[in-house]
Amino acid sequence: MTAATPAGQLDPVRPAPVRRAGAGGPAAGPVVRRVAAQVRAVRGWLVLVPFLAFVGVFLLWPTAAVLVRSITPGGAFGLSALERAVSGPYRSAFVNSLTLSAVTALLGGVLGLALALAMRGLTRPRWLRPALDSWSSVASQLGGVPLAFAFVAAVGTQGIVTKALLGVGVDLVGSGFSLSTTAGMALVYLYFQVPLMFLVVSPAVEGLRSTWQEAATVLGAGPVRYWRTVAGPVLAPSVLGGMLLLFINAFSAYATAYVLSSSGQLVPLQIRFVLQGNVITGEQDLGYALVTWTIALLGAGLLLVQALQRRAARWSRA
Amino acid sequence: MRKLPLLVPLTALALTLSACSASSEAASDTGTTTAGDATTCGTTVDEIAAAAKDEGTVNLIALPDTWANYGGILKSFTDTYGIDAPVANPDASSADEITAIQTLRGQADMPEVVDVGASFTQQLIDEGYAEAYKPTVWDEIPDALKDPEGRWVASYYGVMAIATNTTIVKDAPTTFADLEDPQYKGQVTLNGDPREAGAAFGAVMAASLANGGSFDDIMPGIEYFAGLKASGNLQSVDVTEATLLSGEVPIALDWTYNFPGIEPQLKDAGFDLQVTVPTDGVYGGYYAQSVVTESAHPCSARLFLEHLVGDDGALGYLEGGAIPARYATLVEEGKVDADLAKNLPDADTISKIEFPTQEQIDAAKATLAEQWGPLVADK
Repeated sequence: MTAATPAGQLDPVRPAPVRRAGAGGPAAGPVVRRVAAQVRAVRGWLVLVPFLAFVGVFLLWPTAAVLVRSITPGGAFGLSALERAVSGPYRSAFVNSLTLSAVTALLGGVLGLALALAMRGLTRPRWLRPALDSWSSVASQLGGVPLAFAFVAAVGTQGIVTKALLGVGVDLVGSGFSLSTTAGMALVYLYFQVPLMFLVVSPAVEGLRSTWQEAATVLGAGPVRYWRTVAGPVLAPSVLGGMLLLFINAFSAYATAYVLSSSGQLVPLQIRFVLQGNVITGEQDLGYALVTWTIALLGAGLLLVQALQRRAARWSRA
Repeated sequence: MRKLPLLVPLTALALTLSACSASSEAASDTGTTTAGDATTCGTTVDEIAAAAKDEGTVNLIALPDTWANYGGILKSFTDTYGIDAPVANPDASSADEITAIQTLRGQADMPEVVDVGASFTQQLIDEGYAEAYKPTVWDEIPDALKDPEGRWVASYYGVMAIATNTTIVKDAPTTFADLEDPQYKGQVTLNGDPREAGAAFGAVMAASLANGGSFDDIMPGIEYFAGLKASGNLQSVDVTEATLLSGEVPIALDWTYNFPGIEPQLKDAGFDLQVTVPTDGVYGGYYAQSVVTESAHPCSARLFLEHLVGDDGALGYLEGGAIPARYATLVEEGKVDADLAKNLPDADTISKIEFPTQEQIDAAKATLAEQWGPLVADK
């Protein structure tokens, strides 16, 4: 972008050297160039304006409104709503959400990484890699109601797989398995967590140079030592960053959880109860406080992801 | 520079948005609950209908076609009076309805008649959104189903019922006590979470009455469901058309009026449905209708309320399995035939149904918000 724009800009100015070669004044060149540079700078900002306006209207303004509402319960400044949002039943909602997110981030992270490592350097069959890539891009974005119902139709109490297993003597429901338990929901979440992790760490895994392993071997390091001192540290920031991303992804998942467990003690569902229900009224401040805590948690997570990504970028630049 | 035209709509949007929020605040500050210009619409249904004809439309919200036969009631309204009745966001919740009034206040398409859960009537009054309007059949509506000043009327109510998919469950339960039987493991389903969904809230109230509780003490109901959860009988999916049609919900606790609308589809899916009012816990729950203040079509809004409480609306509700507010009058006048009443408890039981007061509902909500999470949802 930056390389292309000046080249285009220079075109109208190009006659200047010709004039200079003739009888024309040499002073025109620098002035024109300075003005052109200023126009470029202004234009650089101007093209950003729609984006900034968009971010302002649809991200910053609502966020600020939520923050303000959560610290002014009932119209006056106070922290009572923020305190209530992390006590009693709401505290357990945070605990449950954090547990579910941590479990699926850890499991999804490990499985996604394993998948990426298994695919590294695999060239045959040739169709496998593109197929896996496109499936991952689709599956990592496939959350919400359709995914939840796919699982309900498969392993719900009346699901096809459940009924088939019952036919061969395995009673899934009787054994206590249910999609609305934390374990059941974690299973559904993994469906989008694993491919997301695969997409996120694949570039880092592909970036491991075979020459590093050769060099380590030449210097006398076994595979364990190579992984512990070379590949491990190189991959660590990407892997941790990927897992954090999965954590954030799971924490904010809403529609999937709502279908699987309409009575779930999860933060996104509690926000719905107080802001959008038919029963609880006048608890908007509590809802905004729950959102504020969620924003704080996810914001901290995103900052960490960025820090880790900067670390990871060091290796790809080298 | 080509980007500049893009800026214009964005800035305009930002300005309109801020203008909206400013005007809505101003409106709620100065909101009034005065009777308004009710007299200009006339005092008889015919006069109101004539005045409404000029307005031509009434904006509605949150009325699903299959809920209490609203599809049929809306059709009879439009057919009778020739007035358009568009329904915005049919599946909206009560909280959504109030938000819609707040944000659309002063605009031509703001909601003009709302249908909200019993716990939302006070908020409507407090924020000045409920117009005082007493329909012509006012005296035939029981006191428990109307605000003394006419700021809301509950034109229908439902009775908590146990609906069983008898294709899957051969032995249909008929009482709350039955539901504790181990044979119903993983099958009993609430329509939502009682902290959020009015129907699930009603189920807890009914279970409370069945287990020695009262409107003032709903803990027995919460403990009853805690027991169902512990024994594995209570499952956590939602009662929706999709979960009913897939057989994922073999036994549903929901209002009587939520089933007639989907019975044909269930038949198509190969399922038989049996709806029973549990004999040990009869609980009626209403939704309240208010004419909204400062609406753009005030006479049409009044006419729609008249239609809901009048004979046409009442019989429409009955067709959908809901009990109209003027049920007693209709029975007296011989307008309720056996076919219409087949999904309801007998007239004697209906006459004994009581409704909690606003204070009792508020106390129950507070108890639920505190106890349902730790005792039921968390387990």
